Amino acid sequence: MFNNIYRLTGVRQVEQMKKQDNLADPHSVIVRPTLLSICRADERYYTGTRDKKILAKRLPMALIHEAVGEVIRDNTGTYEPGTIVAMVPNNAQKHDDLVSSNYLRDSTFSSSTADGFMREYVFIRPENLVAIPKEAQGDMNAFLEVVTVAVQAIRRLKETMIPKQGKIGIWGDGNVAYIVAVVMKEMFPDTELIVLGKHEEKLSYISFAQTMLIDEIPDDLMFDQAIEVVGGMGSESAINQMIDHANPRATLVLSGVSEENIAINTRLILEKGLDLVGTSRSTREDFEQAVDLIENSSSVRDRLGLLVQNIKEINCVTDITNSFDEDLNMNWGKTVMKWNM
Amino acid sequence: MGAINYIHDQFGANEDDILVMHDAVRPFVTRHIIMENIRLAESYKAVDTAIGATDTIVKVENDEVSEIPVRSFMYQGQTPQTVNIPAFEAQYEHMTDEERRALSDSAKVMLLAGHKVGIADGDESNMKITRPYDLRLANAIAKEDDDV
Repeated sequence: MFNNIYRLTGVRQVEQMKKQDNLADPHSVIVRPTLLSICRADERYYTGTRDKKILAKRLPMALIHEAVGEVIRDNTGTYEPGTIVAMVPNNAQKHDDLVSSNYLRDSTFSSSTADGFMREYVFIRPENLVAIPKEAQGDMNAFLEVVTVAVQAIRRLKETMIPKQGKIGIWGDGNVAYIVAVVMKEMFPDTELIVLGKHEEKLSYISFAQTMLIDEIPDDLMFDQAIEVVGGMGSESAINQMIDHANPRATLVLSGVSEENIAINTRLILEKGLDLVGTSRSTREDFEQAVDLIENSSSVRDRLGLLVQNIKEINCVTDITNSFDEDLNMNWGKTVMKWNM
Repeated sequence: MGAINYIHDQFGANEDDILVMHDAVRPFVTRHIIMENIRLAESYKAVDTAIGATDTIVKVENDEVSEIPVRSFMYQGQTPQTVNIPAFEAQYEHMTDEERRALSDSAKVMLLAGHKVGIADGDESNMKITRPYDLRLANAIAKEDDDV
């Protein structure tokens, strides 16, 4: 069939392209995307601020990796038509017993090394879908993928850290830091959680944990573990602060992306015997855990719901570019696109 | 009417039944266009799909330009066209054989019957393959993903 796919063809330029997909493909589930959300990574492609060589190589490419949809037809017989599903953007090319697919170099990722989910219909393997039960459904499903990234980051913390969790610090005041804080609250309920950031007005969205401005940290405040959710050039001072305020043998999880290399205080890392842990993207298992969290906790649903700050009905290509433009100007919160294309 | 009779045989007749009709020579119709037709059929007895004219429309009679309507009012009709089945049937009964042959556009049939006709946004990609040139263009579009 002729499927329609909405690709980024140049800076701030999205065009409809025809793609031939096989309706009879025995390995495919055919999903109609319903809710999409925009990520900073998508914005970097949209505004052309990614490395020029990478852009030339990857475009034209459909953006968006945060998406849920409805199963229209399943040639594999795994899902009933009508099932609401989250689409996993990470595509494993092979299985590795020790390394999960989100870290394997040959895995592809929708909206990065493969087309994203801005399509009329998504033909996808059943392993890349996770059903969302009724109690967990809602507009905030659009950015479920970000919750899975938080789950993965916290899982990396848990598997690395020594069993000390009196005080844990989360550096960052953006959307991802907020979501990490929401998930941490559930997975470390007895820990004193402190979220540290630069912007008072963004930190004020956090009602369920202590918050602190990064230039007001008491010298003697020390953390057992810490997670960095800052990225960009700001992650340099954030990580160095984390190193300064870390207790010996603390684990520091690094999740913020920066295009440039950053300089950190390695001497203190050595002296304190710190563990630095890299985390990126997520797996199907993280999706299942995220769905469970949302299904079983009304406070998680409420807190995530707060992030839905802009809902856009998408009926034409201009609606897509307007959504991206508006999202760039949002100080805090996520844009949810209701996909009618 | 053939389609309508089939529907009556298989599914009976309901007041709200609509028929969405589409040219087979327009292979690139989108889901959005079809959904718009269905949505508008809730408030109109007939829906036409069209896009705003990009060329100025010129009326020619006897090899001369007789009229140049204001471009902003001119749209190019595409398909699908959608009709409310009972309303269409009622009008069809009134038409003579000659009229039925002459009026090939169901939106025009409904308009002449006095019904309001809604407009669904078409798309430039929803082209009609009429002439050989169109086929060349359509083939290029059909294969555009090969180069990505």
